[in-house]
Amino acid sequence: MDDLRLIRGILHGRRDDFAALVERYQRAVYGFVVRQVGDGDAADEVTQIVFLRAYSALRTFRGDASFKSWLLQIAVNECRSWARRRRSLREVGIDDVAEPELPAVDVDAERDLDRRGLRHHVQRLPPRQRSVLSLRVFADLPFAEIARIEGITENAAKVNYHHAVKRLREWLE
Amino acid sequence: MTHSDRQRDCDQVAPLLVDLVEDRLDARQAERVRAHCAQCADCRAMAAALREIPAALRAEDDLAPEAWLRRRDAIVAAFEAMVTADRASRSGFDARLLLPVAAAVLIGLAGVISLRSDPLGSGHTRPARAAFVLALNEPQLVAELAEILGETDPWPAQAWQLDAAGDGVAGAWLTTHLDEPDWEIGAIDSE
Repeated sequence: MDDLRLIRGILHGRRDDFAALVERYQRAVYGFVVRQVGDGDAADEVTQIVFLRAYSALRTFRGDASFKSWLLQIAVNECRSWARRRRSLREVGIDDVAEPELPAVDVDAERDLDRRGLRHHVQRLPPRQRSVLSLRVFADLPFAEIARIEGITENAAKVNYHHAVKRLREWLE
Repeated sequence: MTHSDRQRDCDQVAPLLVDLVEDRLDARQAERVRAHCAQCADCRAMAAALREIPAALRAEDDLAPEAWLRRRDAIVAAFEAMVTADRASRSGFDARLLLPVAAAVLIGLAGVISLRSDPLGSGHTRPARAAFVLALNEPQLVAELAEILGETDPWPAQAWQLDAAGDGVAGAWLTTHLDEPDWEIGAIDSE
């Protein structure tokens, strides 16, 4: 069943259609989100919020871009909100909120393309490069849609992606 | 060719190299990029990295199907709570309360649908933590949540413990915002 048909079903309150849409896109959303927030539990929460926000805004989806691209735009916004909230919590001096573990990078111990090493290195990338890389690799979005989400040109999206991979390569060498 | 000339060439080739690896160039463009790579060891290495690193990253996401099913079910439970709140909003209450109210519904539902058996590492349920995050979007509601929880700080860090405060607390909070004290959230809370 295509996305638009599922969306119509969801707007009529059909749970199974929502479940189908979640199943179709949760890997893309979670895969993107976890690289932005850096913590599995926080990523689960943000992913859940992304789908709730998508539901609450579903009537505004006009189909100008793909549903997946629209959903990932929400994910990008939620990750930015999450980062702002974390900064706010720090600024008001709350130090008893559970903080996600910051990536503890031991370059010497992680020279191979092993799973743990790569995951941690991605989190060291500058935000724009990390976002572009994640949208391409984990959400499998075309560069044209990544560019629209990030508000940059398609060429700039490819250059950011190239720079992200270049940095990862240098850190892994 | 000077070093700066070569670097300028590499900069121009960078986006094309991405396209070459992903097989999006026509024959003429591909030939141009390959000609550059034949002269440039760094771009040859980058071409290999553009193939290997994304593939290795994708391999990270090979989770067991059951893990994805659990995630999906938690999100669908939240959706059901949202639909319940949505119906209530259409029956006349302030639509701005939709998200935080839905979040509070999650707290009530947590007990009903046994999400409490899926505690996070911090010991709090995912719906309760999601409720906190959602409520942060409404500063006024955050302040009220803080009051309920006995927090004087405008950013109630201890709201993470919303679930520990008990569902009845969430219900009492909701009834102060709703004209209809018998609103269905109360029924969920009492279960």
